[in-house]
Amino acid sequence: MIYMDNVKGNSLIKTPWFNLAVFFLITILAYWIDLRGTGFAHLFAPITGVGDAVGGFDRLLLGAAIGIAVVANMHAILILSKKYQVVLIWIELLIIFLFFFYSFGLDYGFIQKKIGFMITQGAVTTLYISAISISIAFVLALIGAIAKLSSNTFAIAIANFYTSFFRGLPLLVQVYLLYLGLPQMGWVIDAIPAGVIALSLCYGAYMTEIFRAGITSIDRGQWEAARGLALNNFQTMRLIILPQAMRVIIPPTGNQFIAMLKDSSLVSVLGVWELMFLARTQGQTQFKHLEMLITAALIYWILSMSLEMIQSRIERKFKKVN
Amino acid sequence: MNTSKQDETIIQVKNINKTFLNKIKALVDFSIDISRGEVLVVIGPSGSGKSTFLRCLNRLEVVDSGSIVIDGIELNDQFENLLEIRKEVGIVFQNFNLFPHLTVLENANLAQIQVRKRSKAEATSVSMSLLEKVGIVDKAKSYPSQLSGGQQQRVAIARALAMNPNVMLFDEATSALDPEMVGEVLEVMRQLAHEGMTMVCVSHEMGFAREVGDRVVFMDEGAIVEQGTPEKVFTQPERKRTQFFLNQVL
Repeated sequence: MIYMDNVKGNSLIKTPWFNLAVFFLITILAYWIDLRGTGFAHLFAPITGVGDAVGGFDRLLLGAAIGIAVVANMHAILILSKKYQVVLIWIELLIIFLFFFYSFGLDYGFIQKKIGFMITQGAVTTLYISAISISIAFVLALIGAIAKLSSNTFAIAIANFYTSFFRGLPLLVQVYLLYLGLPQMGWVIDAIPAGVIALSLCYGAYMTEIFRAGITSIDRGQWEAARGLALNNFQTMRLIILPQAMRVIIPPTGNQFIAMLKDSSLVSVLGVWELMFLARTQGQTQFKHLEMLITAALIYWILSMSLEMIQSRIERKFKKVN
Repeated sequence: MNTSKQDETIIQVKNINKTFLNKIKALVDFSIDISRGEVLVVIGPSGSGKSTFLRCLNRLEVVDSGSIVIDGIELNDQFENLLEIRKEVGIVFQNFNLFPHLTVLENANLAQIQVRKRSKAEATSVSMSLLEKVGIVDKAKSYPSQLSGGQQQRVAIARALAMNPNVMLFDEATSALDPEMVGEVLEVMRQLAHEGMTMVCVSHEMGFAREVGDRVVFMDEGAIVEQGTPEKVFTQPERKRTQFFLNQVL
């Protein structure tokens, strides 16, 4: 816990009633789902002695076996050191989800055939659309935040209108407006640039508020000290305020980037061959929709995890400030 | 006590008024002339306007009316004037306000490089000699969060001095420090006064006022109630209000 209290508390997991509660909960859940005849039943066959269970009692027995397994697992994890506990729980959760996917009975051969193309065309397109949009949005956010905090009424009003409009309209509508609307005025625009512009403007608006919050979080005394030293506003922002504000700005901005990675899928409505578009179209001819969607989902997750790692790196770099 | 001061007026404050939120009168028709090399100590109860007066001198607060002239330059909203004045007037705050993301040396160098346009080498040499003077040169590469309060305040003083100001403002510089550290900061201020710096100090440190101050000004409700040498004001105050205040703090 952050700023831990120095008290040896009662560990919840060691109390009998908690363990009983978990046991009963899992048992009831397993009973209700009715896992007879599934992979779980076969897994627990050696213990319950009911491989292909049929009766109601077998169902309960199966549930109870699973309940005991979960409680035993909880305690087994605690034996390890904290760091390894996290890793092990992660792995266990991952296995549960993979098991979930496995039960769909997907056609792995088909996935194997298509995954190469999905990565080289889909993931790559998604990545570079997001990367360009992120960079532009960052610049827009900086300008927008400074405009909102300035004393120039034009800047304030325009920035306010910008954030209200581009946070207010759904992103999908913004994408369509750009792609279909601009040509009406004579400026024909391709799908990818339209997507990039829409993403940049939309996320720039959200991030303007994040930047503004970060800048205003800096203590007023910093401004006063800077002015006392005869620094002008621009120098103060660049050298004193923004470097400190970054610590506050980065976590929510990282959030936005990861969200944008998925929102970039909206440009698929314009026919851009990014990840989501491929996921939807590649499986159509052979009705293998779920295979492609799950593959795309996992690829998105891996891309998001990479961004999370980069964000951690950057946060650590700015943490040395204090 | 500074005996070799000149009688040249460096700060001229004429009839300044400052009201907050249309209600709170912080400064009422306030006037004062401060000589070059003079050490002025401003005392008074909280809310008397001492800090407001101090902060008006470098336009951290803006007066509603009246005029302030520092070293021949009028203090108004023109950027060029303000820049010149802020270069000549250094300020030290009660809560230090050091830049936490920069080292001690970088704190002291920053304004020299950006405003005085000195080279990094030049700025560093000025900073280091000042850090030595305030007794903290061994911490030059440390960050403010690694220093004690007294050390941080001494860095703040060195940072302000690095700009070679003609006037130094101290806004309750020792009020946030514990007694041991108060001593080390007052020593630096004492040294500064001895070297002939014009200083305007808002302070509750009566011992300092007595030893180092040339003039003590007692303020209440936005106006000067009484002023004079420390001897005079502390031992023979003319006004009852002054006596009442002194009874509580001395």
